Amino acid sequence: MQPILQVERLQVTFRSDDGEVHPVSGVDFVVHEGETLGIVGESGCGKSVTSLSIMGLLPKGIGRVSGGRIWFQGRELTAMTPKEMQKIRGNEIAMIFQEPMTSLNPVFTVGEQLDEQIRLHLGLSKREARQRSVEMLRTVGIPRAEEIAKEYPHQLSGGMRQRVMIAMAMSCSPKLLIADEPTTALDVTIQAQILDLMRQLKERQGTSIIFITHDLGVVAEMCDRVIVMYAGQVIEEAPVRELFQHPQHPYTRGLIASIPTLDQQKSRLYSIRGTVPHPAKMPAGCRFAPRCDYAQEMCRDNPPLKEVEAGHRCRCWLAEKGGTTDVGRIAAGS
Amino acid sequence: MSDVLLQVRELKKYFPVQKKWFQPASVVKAVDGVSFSIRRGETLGLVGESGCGKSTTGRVILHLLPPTGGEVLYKGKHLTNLSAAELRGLRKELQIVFQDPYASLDPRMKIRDILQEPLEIHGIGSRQERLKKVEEILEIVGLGGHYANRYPHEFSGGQRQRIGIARSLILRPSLIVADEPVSALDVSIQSQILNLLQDLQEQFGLTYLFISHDLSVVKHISDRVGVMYLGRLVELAPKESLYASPAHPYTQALLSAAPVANPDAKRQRIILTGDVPNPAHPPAGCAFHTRCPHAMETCKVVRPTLKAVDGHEHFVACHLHGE
Repeated sequence: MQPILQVERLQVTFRSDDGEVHPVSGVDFVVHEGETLGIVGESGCGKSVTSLSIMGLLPKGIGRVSGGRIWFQGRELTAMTPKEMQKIRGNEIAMIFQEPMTSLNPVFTVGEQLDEQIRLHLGLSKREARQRSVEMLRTVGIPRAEEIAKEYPHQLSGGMRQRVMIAMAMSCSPKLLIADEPTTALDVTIQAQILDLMRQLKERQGTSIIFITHDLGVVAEMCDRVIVMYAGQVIEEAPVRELFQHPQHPYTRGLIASIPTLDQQKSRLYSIRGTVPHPAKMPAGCRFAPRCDYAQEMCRDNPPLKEVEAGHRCRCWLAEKGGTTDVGRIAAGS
Repeated sequence: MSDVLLQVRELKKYFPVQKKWFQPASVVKAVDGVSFSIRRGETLGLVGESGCGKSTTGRVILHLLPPTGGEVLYKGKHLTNLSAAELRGLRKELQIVFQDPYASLDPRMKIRDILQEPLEIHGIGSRQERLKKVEEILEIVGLGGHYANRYPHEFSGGQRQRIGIARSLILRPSLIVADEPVSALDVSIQSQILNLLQDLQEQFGLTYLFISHDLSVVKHISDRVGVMYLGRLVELAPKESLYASPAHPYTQALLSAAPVANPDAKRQRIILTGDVPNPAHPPAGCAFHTRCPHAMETCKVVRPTLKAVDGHEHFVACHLHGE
């Protein structure tokens, strides 16, 4: 498989009250053609900032890419002018956000917003654009598409709005779709509809997807490969089955052990002690060490992201030594 | 039964809808005839999707919102008939933990004052005693008494939720309504709070009404679970029975739709079509019939009532069961 996107040693700097902080520091990954890559992590781990950097949408004057490169189909995104970037954004790389209401313009109808994008990127006439808009709305399973195109975002339900966002994102047949928590604001039965729709579109159009979420259940259902982020770094990367069956990093294991599941019954949940470090006060050495049950002397040095098996990389000194920890001990809550 | 702490009978809460010109006034039936009871020391989970009326049910039980109809009995006493003063007295025993730990703490108050306020209102203890209680309760929820002089913004989401729990606990209540207490928290923090709630229940013999949209969380913490849809309770059962053999088609769809953190999990997914109907105009008969894969003619006309199905304590409101 060809890589469609390569992110190399990405570093992002934000100006804040506490001086300069790095919400993303040294992130590496690739996305292959036609695959769904999951990025998992808790709030503040840098997963959304990573996606905004790819789109060139970091808040102006506050955040900037301060190191590393991003390549998209052999072209360097990080070296592009805003104008060049605009041609790629929405056309070849599209994005859907968590809250569809804040990403749709409340004063234009759904159809007008779709038309605008289609005319801008595909150069179609007004009438052709409307035809394509209605067609897209039908593709994403919106009933009475012609009438819905004439409605305003507030007239639609949350699930419908997210369908409109997906229609917009897919209208120019992008090569890469970045979905940032696309179902987090939705109810479970609606979430199931949207996930189903995204799977169908991916199969039909062969789009690569970066799926950003905090929900490990959604990851298990949607992704081929997963990277786990913690405090601005990738701490583990593996094919989805491998990640759930043989998680190596104590943080990944802790996350998996701390979710209540429908299948099994534990009287107490495992919990990772403490909280995520503040971006201005990152611990030296391994960033997870202060919360890790297995922290040792050597964790004062920052571990590299090393391959532990083919396609499985982990940023932990213990994993490198062949993995001395086991999920059983963690789950028992020792 | 003598061990019943709280009993809810045919509870109703209707909200008037802003009247438009030339249109008749209408109401949203947020809670429409909900009945259940909670035993002392038990956790009853209430699940459902947004707008199903689960949070309103919690608030009406505590009379934070006056009910439109029905009764709430606490220790056999009718809450509905109490005077404001009597109700205030009882509030010591009935407390609530809110979802959003960012919005439910006053940013201009120190933690000490936030936690002291309930004690002051109920005239408990001298100033010294109250301060001692504040420090105690902070220790109990795992924060440490030295945090008393800080402001809410100095805390993370998980710590704020601990403060919210401390506030509801400081009056030593018997019943706590926990309204989505972990929904705003990250996974690793969520498990800390769930464990804390369980520890506190054991330590103080608390009874919980645990409201959540998350089926796994509700299963983890509850003894019995009620499922709500459009203001109605459609199924009520001990959790083992509910999750192993859901009887209502809505419960079945809800359970099958929840993503599972196991890439090899093979399931028959029931994907419901359409959205939840507008609660201002709920469908006639069974409210779920517009989305139900098994809907029959009667479902469009006759509203089903809760009936016992196989075994004791498993109730379902569906025409497919019973007669």
